[in-house]
Amino acid sequence: MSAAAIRQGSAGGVGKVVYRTISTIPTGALWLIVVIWALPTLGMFANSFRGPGEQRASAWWLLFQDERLSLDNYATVLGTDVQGGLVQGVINSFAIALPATVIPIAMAAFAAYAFAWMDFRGREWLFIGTVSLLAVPLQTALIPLLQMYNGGAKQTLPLISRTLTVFPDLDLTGTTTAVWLTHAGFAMPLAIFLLHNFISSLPKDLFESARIDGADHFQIFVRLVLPLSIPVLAAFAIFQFLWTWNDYLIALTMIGPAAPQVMPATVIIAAIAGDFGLYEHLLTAGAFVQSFFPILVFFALQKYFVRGILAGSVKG
Amino acid sequence: MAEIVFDSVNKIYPDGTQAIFDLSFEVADKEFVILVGPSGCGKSTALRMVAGLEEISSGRLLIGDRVVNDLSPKERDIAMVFQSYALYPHMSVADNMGFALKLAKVSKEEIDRRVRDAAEMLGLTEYLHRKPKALSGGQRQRVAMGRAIVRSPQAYLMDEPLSNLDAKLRVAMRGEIAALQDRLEVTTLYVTHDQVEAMTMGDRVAVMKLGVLQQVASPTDLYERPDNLFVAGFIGSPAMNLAEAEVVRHGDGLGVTVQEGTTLAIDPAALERYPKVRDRVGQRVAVGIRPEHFAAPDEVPGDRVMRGLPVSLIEALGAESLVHVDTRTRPIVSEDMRAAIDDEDAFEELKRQAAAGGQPFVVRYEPSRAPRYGDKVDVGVRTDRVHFFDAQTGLALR
Amino acid sequence: MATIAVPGDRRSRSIGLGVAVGGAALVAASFAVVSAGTEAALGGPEPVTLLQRLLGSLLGAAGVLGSVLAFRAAAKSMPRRVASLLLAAGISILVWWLYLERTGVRQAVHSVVIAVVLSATLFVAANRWLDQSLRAWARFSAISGAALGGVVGILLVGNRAIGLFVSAGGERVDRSLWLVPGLAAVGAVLGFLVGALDGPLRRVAGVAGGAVAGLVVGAFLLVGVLPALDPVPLVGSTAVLAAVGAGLARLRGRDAVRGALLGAALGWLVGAFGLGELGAGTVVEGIVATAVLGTLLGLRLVVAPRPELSERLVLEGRVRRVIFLAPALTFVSAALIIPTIRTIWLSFLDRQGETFVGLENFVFIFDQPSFYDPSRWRDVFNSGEFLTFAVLLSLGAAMALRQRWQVDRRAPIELVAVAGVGLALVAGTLLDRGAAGPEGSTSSWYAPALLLVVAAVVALVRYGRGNAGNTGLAGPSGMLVAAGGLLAAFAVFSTLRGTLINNLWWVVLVTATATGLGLAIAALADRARAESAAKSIIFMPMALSFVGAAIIWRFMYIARPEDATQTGVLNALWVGLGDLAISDRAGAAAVVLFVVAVALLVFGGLSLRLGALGTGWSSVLLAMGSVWLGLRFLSGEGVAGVAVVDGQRVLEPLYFISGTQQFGAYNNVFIMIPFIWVYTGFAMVVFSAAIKGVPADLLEAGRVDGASEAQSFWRIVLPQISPTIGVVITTIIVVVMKVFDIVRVMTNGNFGTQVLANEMWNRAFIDGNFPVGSAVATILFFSVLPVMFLNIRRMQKGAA
Repeated sequence: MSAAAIRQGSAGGVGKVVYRTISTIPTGALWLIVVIWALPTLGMFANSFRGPGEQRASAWWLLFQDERLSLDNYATVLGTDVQGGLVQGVINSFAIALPATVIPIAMAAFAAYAFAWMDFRGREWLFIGTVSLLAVPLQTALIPLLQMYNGGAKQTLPLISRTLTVFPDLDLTGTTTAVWLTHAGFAMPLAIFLLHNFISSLPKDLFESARIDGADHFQIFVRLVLPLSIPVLAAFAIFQFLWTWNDYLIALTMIGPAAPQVMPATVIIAAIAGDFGLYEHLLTAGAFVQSFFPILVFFALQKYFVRGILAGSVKG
Repeated sequence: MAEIVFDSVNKIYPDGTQAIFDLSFEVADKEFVILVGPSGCGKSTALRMVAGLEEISSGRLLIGDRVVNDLSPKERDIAMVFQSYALYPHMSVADNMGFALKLAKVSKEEIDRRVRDAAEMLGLTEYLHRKPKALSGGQRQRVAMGRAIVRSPQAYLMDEPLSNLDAKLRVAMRGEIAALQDRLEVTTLYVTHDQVEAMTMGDRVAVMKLGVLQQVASPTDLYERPDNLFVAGFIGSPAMNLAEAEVVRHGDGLGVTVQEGTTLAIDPAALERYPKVRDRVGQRVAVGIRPEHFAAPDEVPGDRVMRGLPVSLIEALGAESLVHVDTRTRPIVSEDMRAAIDDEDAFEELKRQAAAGGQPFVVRYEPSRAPRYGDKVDVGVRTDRVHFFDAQTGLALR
Repeated sequence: MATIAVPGDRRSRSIGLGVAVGGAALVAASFAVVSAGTEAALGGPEPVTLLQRLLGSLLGAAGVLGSVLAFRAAAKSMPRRVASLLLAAGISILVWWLYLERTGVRQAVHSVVIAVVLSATLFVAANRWLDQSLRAWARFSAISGAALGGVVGILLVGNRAIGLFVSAGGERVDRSLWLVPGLAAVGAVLGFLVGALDGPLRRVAGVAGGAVAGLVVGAFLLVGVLPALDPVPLVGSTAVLAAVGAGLARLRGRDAVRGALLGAALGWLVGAFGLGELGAGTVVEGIVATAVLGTLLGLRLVVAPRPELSERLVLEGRVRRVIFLAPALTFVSAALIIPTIRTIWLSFLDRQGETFVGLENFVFIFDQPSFYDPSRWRDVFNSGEFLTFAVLLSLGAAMALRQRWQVDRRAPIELVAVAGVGLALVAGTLLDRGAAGPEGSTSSWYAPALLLVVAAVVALVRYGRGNAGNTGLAGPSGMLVAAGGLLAAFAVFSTLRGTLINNLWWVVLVTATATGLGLAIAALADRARAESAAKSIIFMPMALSFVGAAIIWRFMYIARPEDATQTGVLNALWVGLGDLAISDRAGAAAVVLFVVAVALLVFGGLSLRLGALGTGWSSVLLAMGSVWLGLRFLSGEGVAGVAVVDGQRVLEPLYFISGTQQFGAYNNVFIMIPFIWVYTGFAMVVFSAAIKGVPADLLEAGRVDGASEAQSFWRIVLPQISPTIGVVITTIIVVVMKVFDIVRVMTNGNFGTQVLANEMWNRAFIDGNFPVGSAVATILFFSVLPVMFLNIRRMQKGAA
């Protein structure tokens, strides 16, 4: 019996009614918040079916009074008239998000396995050092990275003043490759951290048993660690996919707003938003197209996404 | 021929602690040897050195005439059963059992055949497609066994394979493993901390303490002729009653004063087994009496009886009753005993008893003749069966 | 054939295989048809090549295979099978079609496939190569030699050190790349010989092979790198580095001869190509330089005997680690470590990035009033926000006092002091405002105000330390004080201005609100019906991009001109309320409001008697609001978005985030709201998991001890999840510090809403001033550092 319930007895019938009312408040408040939270997205979604005239003249909740709902906004925004078209944008987003998800996961899994199950001097130190790089904000690395993609990286050796080319000038600026390479680098510390947490928690006996069964490190990794890590790989993959799909800063920096044929969807809709007055009505559809895959992934794989979020709440 | 030979093997960890001291013994071909000892005695380390999971600091280790010190586990041709079974959770039972063969690039048909044979032997045929998660504890244990059997290795290594099972199943599996080993005739080294397993399963038992091998002998020998105080205290359940006592002249022969006012005449048979007792007249030695080596006062001569001992606890087990009687004997408090008891709380209790100057003896009674709580009883001692050890070194006085 | 598989398993496997093969055949066939068609249909300037068609059909086949696999994996129920099959097939057909249809897709697919396949191949190949070291040393050695030769070749060709030019048809054609396989072949032979032979023959082979390799390189040296060999520095550096090498090897307990040889080789390299003048030497000098180098290295290779098995095992372990670690660590250093160091370095250089200028860039940035402008700081203490803060502080302290008194008849001196300070601040600020008006303080009230605030903080901290977990500031009174603190922060941030201050404002408000709301929602949801649906909706914005969130909220904020219909939710509500207030239904609405107010008052009073303080006080507050609104409705002066001036209806929509000075510094807050909207879901999810992790025993024990729902939340759940609160706060702080997308899309830093990340971007990429941009990035880096340091330490503790 709670203290409130004890007092409720003394307050009699009215108290009971009040108490019952109070106990419904959490649910009521929660759903009020839910409505407020859903409202902005719903509004955008509703507006996306209305033409520029309707959007300007009346509010979106009068949607069903409109005489005409159409997919015109979608058609326009997917076509090639505005900022190169979102079809290409979505494709570019895939071209960035897929390698930026797959490659760091694979490499981080190798490294996480090495950190967890290979013995060598300075392992702890190296691991902490790598994971500490979570601290580095993206902004700190942008300028040198852009310079490197643009003109390669050269290092002048001290004392003998000879310049060596460390990274060749591949002219990567303005390509999706530059974007996903950057993402892959930035994802690495977190990926290593998450995967290491999981892989190092696998029972030691399994690895010893596999060694006695005749497996070497590579076979253990491929046949044991990878299949067992699927849940955590999926969790991180979703996390990383959404992160890279939704990224704006790196794409904007590495591609710039002047290359419509390689811009990912975020950069395109941000560019459309720059002409807010002109294309206001298209933004609704544009934002929805850009968000379509994240929302799909979100609702289909929410369990994994939550797991990734919980594990990765240290992302720097 | 696949004997396992430890030849002066040492294990020193990088931080300088030494886990194994100069271990030398041999597991003969087709033999089933149990390595037993309290926790931290180095028995698992020794086993893992055979498996190739621990480096050997010095000495030689041979499996079937081959020095294997520098070989990786897969080149040693051994199979191991882990305490946790270490079944691969993502593979079916069949895949678990065939994994090693698959890695060794054995043909698919051959793998199928061998897995099926092993499964039949273990009664696992209908579970072959299941994942380990869907099996009971006993079935998992069998799969772990099956995984070892399938490989037909030179030797089986088992690391406490039964300790995750409940008591009843453990008894059944004990017999099964012993029978299986007998049938397959594969050299087996089996590690356990449970001395009942050690006594019931193996051809021979090797007892270890703090990294030092104490005695290797058949179970009966180990029970009847312990080499030292530690083995005497560790082997046997309930444990041997041990007390510090003084050897004195008694009539024609020798006697031993176990507590103030009680001197027991030593039977000549005991002196035959422990001849060095004769040199210890007037000195303190450790004397050991197993619970079953007590008798009714009228069954032994009168100078072999401890009189007026109050009963403090009765464990009525049905077939027998274990009666704890308070004595004024002095318990032996030494590192040997600490290791043999393997329980800090019990050892603290022993120290307390030593300070108080008395300890209970456990006496086995026929249930029908057992006294009642609070009685004062006279207990005869079959002094032909008592054991004598040096009080300092713990060595048997042979 | 004996099989252990259960019958069904085998059958389904063969069916699967059949479907896969059939599917692949189908794809190939349809491809033949389609490609014939697309050739004609697409035509255009960029015809599809055979290779591309092949890749396209491979992709299609992979898609079908994938769908078959998906079909088999989702074998739980028929609808799921069909759904997954359709989905996979749909995706693969879409990909295939897009691949053929669009150049952009083709490029994207190519780069992705190449990257993924290349890295996978490299990794597997490296592991397989290393396997050879234990099985077949000569093969291993040959492959290593080939790889080394290839890499050296690429490095040399890439750095324009060697080259091969032939004349074909009178033109000079660059065939330098052929040198790479050439060097690889030389390396392979050398490696094989050193690996396979033994004894003196091996030494001869090693030395001769090294010399040959050196000769080959030397023969193709480009004129520009031919060194002029000067004996003194050449011999000098060789001797010095040989000695150093020997010494180092000795120190590490290795063979001194090998160390000396390696050192000598390095010394020769430095002496010949580093110290000598490049391009001034003859061909012979070039050949001598490389041949001696090759010989030294070959000698180094063979002075050691062929490794024994145990040595090979050690080598294998060491190289395996490198294979596993190198890819990730290379990425980490190339994308994070080196760029960060370069950025910090660059921030000390002049605009051309050449001359060291010390802290000039930082001084420049801090000199900008748009970056940091504390000039009006005295006004903090007579602002409305500060007044409200003082009121809330005294109220909260008073409530806490009353609660404490009821529980144990004690009135802690600290609480009394806080309440007193609050009252003094209210009085002082009111007097100051009365004397000077709301615009600008003229008196020196700021000095005592500052002292009083410090006193209040000290008292609160003392009270919190001494009474942790005790009755007092937990619950509503604590929330009042916290809200007061937030307002005090507002007072500061809206008075001091600049990018730096905006960032701080972001950190304080977004972190506090998102954490608080997330916690509240998690607590509410924990006992609500349809919990997971509600949480899904609140969490959903996390899946959106900040760009998308910014756009969505621009629609919420839209303000139409006075005469048009308001289409944004907020302004429509605002103006709608005003219209209701002056309509002929205003009277009826007012009556409804009064009735509601009475009901709320009764309910609130009863709640307070039941001990539900939060519910009670909020009801009373709501009732007061309703009464005020009702009175406004009756007065006919208009309210919210509508004012009545001279009997005329005048519309006053809210111009969120705009150049009109309606909201001034508060434009920042409106940009923060989308961020809060997104990150509340994050906080909620993390808190929800933490609350679910509080052991049920503990709550049941609490209930047995007589705690109410509210009490068990404040006294049991909250202390249990306090580490999680720390994690959420630090995580959000780090993300907020770097906020960029939302600001860029909503205002691009205009209207006084600039933040560090956007300032950095504009300085670097709009102004093209990399050093100043780097300086801002460095400031950002060092402000995030302490928080991340805390986070990592906690992380380590958690991992240990």
